[in-house]
Amino acid sequence: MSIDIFIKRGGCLDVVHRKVNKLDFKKLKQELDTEFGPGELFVEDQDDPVTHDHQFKPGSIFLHHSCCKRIDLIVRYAGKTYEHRFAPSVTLKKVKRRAEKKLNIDPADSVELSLQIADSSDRPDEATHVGSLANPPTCSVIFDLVPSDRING
Amino acid sequence: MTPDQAIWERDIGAASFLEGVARNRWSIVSLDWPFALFGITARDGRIFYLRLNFAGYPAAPPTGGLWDPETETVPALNQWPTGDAVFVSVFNRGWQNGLALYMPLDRVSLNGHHDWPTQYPHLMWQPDRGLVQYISEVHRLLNARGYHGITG
Repeated sequence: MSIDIFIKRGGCLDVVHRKVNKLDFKKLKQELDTEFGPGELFVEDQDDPVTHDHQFKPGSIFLHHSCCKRIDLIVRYAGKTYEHRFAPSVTLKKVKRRAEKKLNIDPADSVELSLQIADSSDRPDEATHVGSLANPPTCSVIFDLVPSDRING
Repeated sequence: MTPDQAIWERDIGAASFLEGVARNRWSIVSLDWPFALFGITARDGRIFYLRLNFAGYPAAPPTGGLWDPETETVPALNQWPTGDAVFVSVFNRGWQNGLALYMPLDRVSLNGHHDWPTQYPHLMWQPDRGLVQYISEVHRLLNARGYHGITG
């Protein structure tokens, strides 16, 4: 039975999809290093680079390849800031949840908020890896937490 | 096959769409060109069906709304999702008789709303991003805390 692997990478929003019959991380990492330059391979939402004996749950596998081992992240909201260093494979869904908690935003009392890249109007999808928004070698990204829009007009 | 359908076929097999399928966020249910039916998973696990018209894709944005595949019509009021002011501004059953979602990504809804590109730049259609842009926004709304289930 084949395994679906989805790979994202540093500073790029493209997704690579591979179907394999057997997991071979050493080979996969070598191929990605050749294609994108030397980097580390992370499992989604995991803090440390993947090891060859990593045990995966059944189903599709989501990975991140980046030369940034950590992303310096700042989230700004209502005059307050939350700063943290995340692994590049952390999803924006997790970043948002953590930022809301640290900024004492009660989900029950608040309208839906979105992460918007600072000085832009881009609001990336929740499945985006934070490392995909940080251009190496900067390895940092700044977001504003903004309320979802009520469509008028 | 027309050029718009050929590009659509390419995009439905692209990694960005397949990733959403693998995450159980959405699925493709059927195609009767230019109409495609998708299943979108809401945060309570309910599947909502989204029927989009892709004529002119990808230069032209799609248009469409929620659909009941059993009756082949817009869902009855008791099957229509409800939510906060942000949510119901988009899932407005009174707009176009429910046949278009009220948001800038929708071709029919955008028509005549000349201020929307300035007001909502993050919701403007980008042909190079393709169909995932519309579908992921619908998924986002159905998984936001502003979604409150169905009325029925």
